[in-house]
Amino acid sequence: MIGAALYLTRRSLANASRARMRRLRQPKYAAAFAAGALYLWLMFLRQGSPGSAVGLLAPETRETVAVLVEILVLLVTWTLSTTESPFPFTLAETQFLFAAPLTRRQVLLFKIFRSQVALAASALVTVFLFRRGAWGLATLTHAVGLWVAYATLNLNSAGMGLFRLSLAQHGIVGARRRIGTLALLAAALGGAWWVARRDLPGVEAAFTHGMGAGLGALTEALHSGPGAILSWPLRAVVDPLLAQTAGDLLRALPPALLVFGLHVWWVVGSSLAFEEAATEAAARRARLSAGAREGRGWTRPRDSRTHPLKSSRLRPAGPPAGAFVWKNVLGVRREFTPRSLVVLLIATVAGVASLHGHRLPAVEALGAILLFAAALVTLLGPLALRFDLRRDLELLEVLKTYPVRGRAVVSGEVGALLLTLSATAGVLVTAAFLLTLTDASLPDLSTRAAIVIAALTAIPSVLGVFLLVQNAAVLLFPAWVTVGPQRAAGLEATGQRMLLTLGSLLALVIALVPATVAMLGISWGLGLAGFDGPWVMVTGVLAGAAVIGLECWLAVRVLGGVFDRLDPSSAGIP
Amino acid sequence: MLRVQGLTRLYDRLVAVEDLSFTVAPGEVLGLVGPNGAGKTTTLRSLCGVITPTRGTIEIGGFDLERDPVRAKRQIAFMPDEPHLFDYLTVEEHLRFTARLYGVPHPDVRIPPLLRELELEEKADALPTELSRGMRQKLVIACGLIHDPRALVFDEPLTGLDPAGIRKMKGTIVERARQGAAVVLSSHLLHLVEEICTRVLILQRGRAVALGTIPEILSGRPDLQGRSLEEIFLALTGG
Repeated sequence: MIGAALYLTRRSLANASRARMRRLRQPKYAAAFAAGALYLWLMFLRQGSPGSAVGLLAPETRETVAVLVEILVLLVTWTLSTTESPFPFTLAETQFLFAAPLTRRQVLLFKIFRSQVALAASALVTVFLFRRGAWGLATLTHAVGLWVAYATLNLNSAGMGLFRLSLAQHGIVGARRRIGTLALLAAALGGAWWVARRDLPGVEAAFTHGMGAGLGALTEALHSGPGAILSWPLRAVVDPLLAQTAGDLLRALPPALLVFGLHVWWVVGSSLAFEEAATEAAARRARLSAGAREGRGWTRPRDSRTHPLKSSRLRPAGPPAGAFVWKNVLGVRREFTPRSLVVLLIATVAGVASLHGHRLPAVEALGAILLFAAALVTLLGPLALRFDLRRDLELLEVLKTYPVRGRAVVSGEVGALLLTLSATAGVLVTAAFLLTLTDASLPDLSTRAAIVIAALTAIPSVLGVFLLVQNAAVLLFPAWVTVGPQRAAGLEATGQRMLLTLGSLLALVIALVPATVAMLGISWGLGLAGFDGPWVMVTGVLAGAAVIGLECWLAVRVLGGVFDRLDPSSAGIP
Repeated sequence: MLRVQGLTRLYDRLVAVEDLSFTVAPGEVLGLVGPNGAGKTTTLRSLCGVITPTRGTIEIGGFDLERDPVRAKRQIAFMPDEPHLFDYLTVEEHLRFTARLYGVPHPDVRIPPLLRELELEEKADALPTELSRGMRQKLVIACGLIHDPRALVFDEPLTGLDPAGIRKMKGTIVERARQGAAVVLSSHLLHLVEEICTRVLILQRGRAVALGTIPEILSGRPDLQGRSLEEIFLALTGG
């Protein structure tokens, strides 16, 4: 089976590389590739000698810092990991693997093995870039260490995803089958609580004497008593990453591979248990259904007639762009679950807490939370929600049959998120303003009102640029940007996301240049005419926003043309 | 209604369709047949404006597809073999969305009978993920019919349908043609083509090797007299 997996990986890689090389014959892809390569060279490779932030830490505390980062990554993936199956099989894999004479366990191992190749390549590229192109044994050592960490964390995220999915979908049946994981999780949390109660006061006291002393105390706590037992798996995962020599790596690898192996065993077992729980839960539902027919009562799955989805009316007449806005707003409403709200709330509270070391009065704190949430919605909303061409280009063939100009498609697709996010951020900013209306400790009311109006004008402008850049990327380079409901997942997609985010920021800066010129020009002109105060700034921002609006209008027309010319047969959309 | 003149489509250096010309009058059903890779799907996608021809012109209801794509596309509906749908819109919302794009004046009047005709009434509030493949296919057809198109293009229309659905689909195609629509359908099911098509276009390596009614095609090949469409097809395409 490993031979088959290796063959498939080798041939897929070779064929994909050939397709990518062919694509580079198109001038736009060649230019983008050159720009990306130049960027990487300027950012990572040009300066020659390798540097590392880890080197700034004392050797004995590096492991502690790495463990803290690892805990943070685990918490984030446990909270945010999707409840979709961690092993999505492609249609081809389903057709070939599931019909092949392989056990389910072998199929899962095949899938895990294949994912390792991508993770190993990603680790190698990351280390190569961060070591600024320096090749050698150290690069290889670090790459192996990073791959082990990536692979284990990836499996941990998959295992936790399955655990949550099992509990969410199969309730008591799922919980019964996950009793081992539940017990282990409870023991780990109980142990962590007990260790924290015992050691945290000492560690806190040490931090008052400086970062070095604090980290030293934390290191001591992680290496002694029950803390050492609890932190062992965490330390085992990061130790290969911190190895400085091949000898260090060889010593660190066996425990790390043991933790990795345990994760493989756990994830494969969980996946099999999940399927059994699904079967059992289905049988249970069937029994309950039979019970209902006999008058014993049961809870039914959603019946579209009795539990219709919330909708809104679409006016039969009007510009076609309005239909796209309506469609995508419905999509946003259906995707924005209570869980998304909880995540936003946690991020906001954590952000405000980290920004303010000192205590704020309750009203001011709430105002700060609302403003921080508005900033999150504006800056991260366009990345988090994909109800525009990033999602719909998957249906390009359908879109192309509609009797609609490309510019109407683009403006409608972008418009939904622009309206939704602007409205959300606007409401948050306005709420913060109203909440602190009578607060005498803040600047005077007129100044605050001017700032709020400036913010309400600036938010849609910033969002417009962000969203148009994201949609431009998918229209211009459909073969490079993930199309469809899911973002490119996994650690290996980090580079792609990083480039897209930097591209968005660069486009924002470029778009802001004429807007800033207009803003400063208007403010200067008003100043010359004898006007002064915050309302001059508001007028300037309005002028800037008008310039950005014009830029966005031009961008929509250009991208509309790109959409009209986009050929599904050569676009390279998978 | 549909006029194709000198249609040519190249993929790099590969000629998918070359110098193809044909017309489909209102009430006619043209069957597009040919071996795999003959250029059937390329022809259908060109007809609906999904891809742009390298050369040649396509007119739908008197509107040139390249020069006036919006008005030309309003006259036509494309039903692909794979049902592609928005996974976050319900059945009824798909119809409302499509109706707005095509400028259907009274969707509230139009949608219920269409749902009834395609047996989707009970699934009006269901998302595509809650539908079987056959039902998704029916939804695509409902979306295609909502604006009463004057030209209909079907790619393998019977794929994924059960026997009752197949009978209903054949009835729908014939009925629409009877009402005056020009229909083009591509299928490997030659008995379907023989049963419901008024004319046949046989493609081979991107070129038309035969076009006309079956008696017209046979008039040029007396050696094939009395043979079935399948035998004619195999003889003409060297299968």
